[in-house]
Amino acid sequence: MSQSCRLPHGGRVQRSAPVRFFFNDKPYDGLAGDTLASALIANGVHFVARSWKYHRPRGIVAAGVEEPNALVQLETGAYTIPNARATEIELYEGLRATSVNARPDIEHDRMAVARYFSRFIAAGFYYKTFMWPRAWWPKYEERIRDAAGLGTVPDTLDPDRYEKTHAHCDVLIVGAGPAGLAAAVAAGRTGARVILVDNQPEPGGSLLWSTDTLGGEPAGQWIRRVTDELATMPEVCVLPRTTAFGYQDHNLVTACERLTDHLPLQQRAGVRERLWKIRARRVVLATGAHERPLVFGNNDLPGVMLASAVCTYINHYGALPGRQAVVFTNNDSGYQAALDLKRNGAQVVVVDPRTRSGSGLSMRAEQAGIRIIQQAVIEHAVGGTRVSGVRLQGHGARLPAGTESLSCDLLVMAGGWNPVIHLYAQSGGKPRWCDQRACFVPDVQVQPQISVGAANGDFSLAQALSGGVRAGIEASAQCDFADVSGKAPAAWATHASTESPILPIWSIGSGKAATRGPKQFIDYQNDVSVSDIHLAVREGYRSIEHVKRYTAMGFGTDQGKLGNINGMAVLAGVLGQSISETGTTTFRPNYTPVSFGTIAGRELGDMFDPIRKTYLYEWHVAHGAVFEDVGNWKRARHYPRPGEDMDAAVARECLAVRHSVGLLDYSTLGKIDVRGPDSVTFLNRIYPNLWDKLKPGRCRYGLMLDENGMILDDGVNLRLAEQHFLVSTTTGGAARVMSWMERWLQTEWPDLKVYLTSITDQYATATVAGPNARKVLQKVCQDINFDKEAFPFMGFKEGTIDGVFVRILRVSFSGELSYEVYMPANLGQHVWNLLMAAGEEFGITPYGTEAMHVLRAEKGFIIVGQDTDGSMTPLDLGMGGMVSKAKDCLGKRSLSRSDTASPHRKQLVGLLPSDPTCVLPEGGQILNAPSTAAIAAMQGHVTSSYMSPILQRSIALAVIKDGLNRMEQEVTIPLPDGRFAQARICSPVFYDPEGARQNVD
Amino acid sequence: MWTELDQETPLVGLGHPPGGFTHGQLGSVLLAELPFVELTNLRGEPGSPGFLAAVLDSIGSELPTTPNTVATSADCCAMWLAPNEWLLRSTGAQPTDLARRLDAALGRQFFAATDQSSGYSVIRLSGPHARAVLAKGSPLDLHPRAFGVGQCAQTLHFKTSVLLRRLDLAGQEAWEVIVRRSFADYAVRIMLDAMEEYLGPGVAPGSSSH
Amino acid sequence: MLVIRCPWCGERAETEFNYGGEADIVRPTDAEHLSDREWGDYVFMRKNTLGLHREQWVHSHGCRRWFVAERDTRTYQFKSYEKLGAHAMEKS
Ligand SMILES: [Zn+2]
Repeated sequence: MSQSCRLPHGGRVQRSAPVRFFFNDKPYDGLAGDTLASALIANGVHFVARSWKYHRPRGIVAAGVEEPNALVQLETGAYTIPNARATEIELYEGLRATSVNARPDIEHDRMAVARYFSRFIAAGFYYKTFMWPRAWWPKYEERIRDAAGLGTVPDTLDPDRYEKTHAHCDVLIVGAGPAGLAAAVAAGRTGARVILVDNQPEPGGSLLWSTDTLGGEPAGQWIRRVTDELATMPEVCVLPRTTAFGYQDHNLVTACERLTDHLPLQQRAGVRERLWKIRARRVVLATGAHERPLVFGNNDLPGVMLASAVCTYINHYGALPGRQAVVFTNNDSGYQAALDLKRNGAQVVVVDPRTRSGSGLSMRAEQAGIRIIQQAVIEHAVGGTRVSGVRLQGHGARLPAGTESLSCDLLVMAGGWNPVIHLYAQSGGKPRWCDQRACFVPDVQVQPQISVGAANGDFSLAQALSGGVRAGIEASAQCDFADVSGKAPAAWATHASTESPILPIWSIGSGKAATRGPKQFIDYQNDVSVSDIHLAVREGYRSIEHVKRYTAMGFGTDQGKLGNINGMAVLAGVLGQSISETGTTTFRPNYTPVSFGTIAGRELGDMFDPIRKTYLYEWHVAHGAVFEDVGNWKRARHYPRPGEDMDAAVARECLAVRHSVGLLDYSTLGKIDVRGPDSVTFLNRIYPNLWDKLKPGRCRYGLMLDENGMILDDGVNLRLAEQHFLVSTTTGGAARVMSWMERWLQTEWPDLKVYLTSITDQYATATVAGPNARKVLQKVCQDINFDKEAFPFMGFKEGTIDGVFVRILRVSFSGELSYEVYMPANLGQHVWNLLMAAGEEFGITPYGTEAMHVLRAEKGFIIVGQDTDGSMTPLDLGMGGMVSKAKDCLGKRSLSRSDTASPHRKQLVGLLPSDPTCVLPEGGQILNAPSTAAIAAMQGHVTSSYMSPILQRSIALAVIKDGLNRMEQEVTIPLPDGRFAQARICSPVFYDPEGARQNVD
Repeated sequence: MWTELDQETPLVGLGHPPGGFTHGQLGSVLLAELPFVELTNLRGEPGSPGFLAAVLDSIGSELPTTPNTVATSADCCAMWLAPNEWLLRSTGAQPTDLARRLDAALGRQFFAATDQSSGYSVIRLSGPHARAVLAKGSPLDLHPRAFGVGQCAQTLHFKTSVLLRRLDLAGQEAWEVIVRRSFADYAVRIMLDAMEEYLGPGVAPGSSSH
Repeated sequence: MLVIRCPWCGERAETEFNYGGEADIVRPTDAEHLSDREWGDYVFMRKNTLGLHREQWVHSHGCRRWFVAERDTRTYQFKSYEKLGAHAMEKS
């Protein structure tokens, strides 16, 4: 298709590089350097979307990030991006985009009838209508989403790669227009570390198509010279295609760099987007300004466009948006568009509500022969899928004869400028309304930043350049980089022109008149019109934050960049108060939508969270282990043999330990080296039991309480020497316990001479458990006497296995004769191999955490965090005897509080299901028996539940109110399938209650 | 009696080449594991009489008392971890049994010397892109103006703690990264992933098991 | 994400730290003689200050030292930092 609206010359597009693309499945040609929007305009396509609520036809309004209408579904399948702004999509070969919010297509949108009902679906419609019955809500939601939905989310995994990085600099400059470039070169020359981010493909901003001269140099040449200089500075980093989207606390600015979106799909490789987390000592905001639309009837028709966008399409992209234009302007900016249109052969009429001013641009327009209708406004536009004409009305004067109606194919709006204060406001700043310039400007700085150029309401080029230079020098100086004399850039002279002041017009017609006639749109994307704001006020809303929520103004993907200020002004008018009193809504990150991929970065799948591996991980894999996650650890849960399911594997592993010998990787337990003259005092304060009498060479079990008296952790502690202990913790609690103990030492007991050192990773642990455990160890370790008397229960000894230093504990978590072997982890695999070989004659069986759990549950040993849940005291576990009466310790006082001391708390007991094949669900609620009631008082819950291979029946541990006094009583446990299981309360020790088995010879 | 060959490094899951695991190119970014480095954690009060002198006597190295700095001697590099904590990294080829020597030398002092040779993985990252790789995982400012040779710092590498030290490798930018054994596999895999964009497309080494 | 100045290591990112809540809560040494209410006040009751708040932080991924910071809970600006413990030094 021909580019019927492409100008014969001009612009920064590459005329020798045509690009084929598809919009709504039709092929078009554009040029390299186009955006999708400029290419569509070059092809005369204005009607590109339908609105969110009324499904009204909409066209391209803007040329940049503020575009509310031209949202497309870019590409399909895994690469699809919903709600991409056509004004920001750089054209590439083969691009495919479709309009959002129109099904089956934009011409035959079946929801387009909505606009005929628009007076029934005003603001608050959804709140009021879809209320009852409650059960229908999901249906309503489905329908509303179907009718209203913008883009479509991808349904396949995103194949692209996203990265994140941290960055630091002295001066961060956001925006590479004239102010930003001036600031960057000024800051760069001081030697400061500078980062310059800009959301465009190349730096320059509005200067890229400007006819201005800077210091006598044409704008384009100036940009080249400045950017060349920046490129030579080693401490200056320029990031194009990078949008600073968030200004966070303490001068952290988050920005998204787009690396491949401008390339054809098949040429894309590597990183698609990179999230920059930039910590800057000073920030210079040179984010420019967005032009405001004017609010009049049918101001949403395709072909209604901002004046600045018209200039951009003509001068930057060489595309002519219309041939018969009406320019509606309340300030001098519209005249530039009129001149650009006229110069390129369009017919132009200017409608200006002001009296004739004689300002520079308006005089040039007059001289160019452009007709100017002063003291007039546009009442409404007319047209179908493109504007075809306007109706005028006088503004403080009668219309000249014959000008009530004008026909046009382009309606240009220039309503003044809004500085882009989003980042300033996100930094905590409160913008101030400036009557003279009719816009919000940055006021007091809250974080170390400064706004310059148009972002600061300084709209002239001269102000942008001088403000930029000053900000660059000052920001560097604040980072101790002095402006070395003579290196500061000169103030570049620019052409000065007289301007006449803006005449703000916020809507056409005052009071009720503004709500009649064709809708006057404020927020295009969310279909919020002037009448909606009137309605909100009639219904009692006063605060701009409430009106925003009631009308949904600014709720769209554009976050109200274009319409919000007009909305605030209209609200101020309706309330009869000033814009200053009305204020703005809160500007929140993110300035533009950020993809989930960028937020996730590379921390996906196995890299989402650290996977901690023991010394034996590879061995476990090689031996077919099934893993379970415990904290961040991967622990071998069981080792199924061919044909075995988990139950069979666990039963085999359990019985091997009970009948002969098993081997367990126990390395994940936390291990803390406690050393110093006050170690005993310290442990006495941390643990409820006494540590004075524990002799070197002996171990003791310890429970740890928080100050609320609840069990925090547990483990077996060793006294290595008089002033030296080794404390062990649970797998999941290791880091918590280490910092808990360290905190008490540092903050409360700094007088105690104790050092804590984590040795969890230094030592690997293997547990040799079962009646043949001693025989296995005796084969590999000759320098330790394993005799019963010489090496009693709860003792430990140090020795060597094949020359490797080992510390061996005789402790038992299974009830069997059992030894834990500690060795340096680098040699752990070697020692493990020797143990396996030595145990071969006894059928030594590696067992996993599941068998370990069954074995300990058979003995009634608790797991902190499974059988306790942060609301269990030692008394609740029947371990009150461990709490020494002779001393204070953390949490002890809480044990005598009225609630913790109550005898009716939940207590740990055993449960024997009456059906021995029924394994009760862990977490199952316990009811008084008999009960089949739908609602019954909960007496407790099942904490651990297994099939016991040695007892050949199911067993469970539970916490039950008053449980210790309820032995032999029946209880009921509802099952997930609706049945009820019966069980009898018993002692939690199911196997070998006398503890004879660990005494085997 | 065990031999060198019986030892395994924390990166055994990435293959077990003699001399340690390596990946990348020095002209871009090169990761190299330094296997079986002797490490000793030392706690003590620098203000306590005789402590620093006894340490100097025993290991031949000063203990740095300026936060986040390093003191080096002929066969030991002492890195500041906390006002009363250091990591001693032997630089010689043979283990020197530092923990035991300190135990003997410090006798009745209030101190703790703990062998950590199995507790950590020691990795060297070098090349012009080394800093960019580290910056992906660490919020620390790694610019030479902020972090020079002679400095060390404990910080984050993605979601795990690491100890970083800037090395002086004949003008080549290089860093030593020390990470706890159980986190080493994670830390190195995510570092290899971060290196990928500088090394071009290709399968990251090591098996991605389970 | 805040920047927090560890009194030992200097300015570091918030992610390297953990928060410890209100500072200056002294553990009672005569716990056995306190009423349930007094003990409960110590364990549970906190000021929830609006404005300058003295609070504990620990440089968990760095030197693992606890310290006290004064932070304005309205603006998140830190006013001062001080070291803890037997060898505590004056405000930096
Ligand atoms: Zn620190």
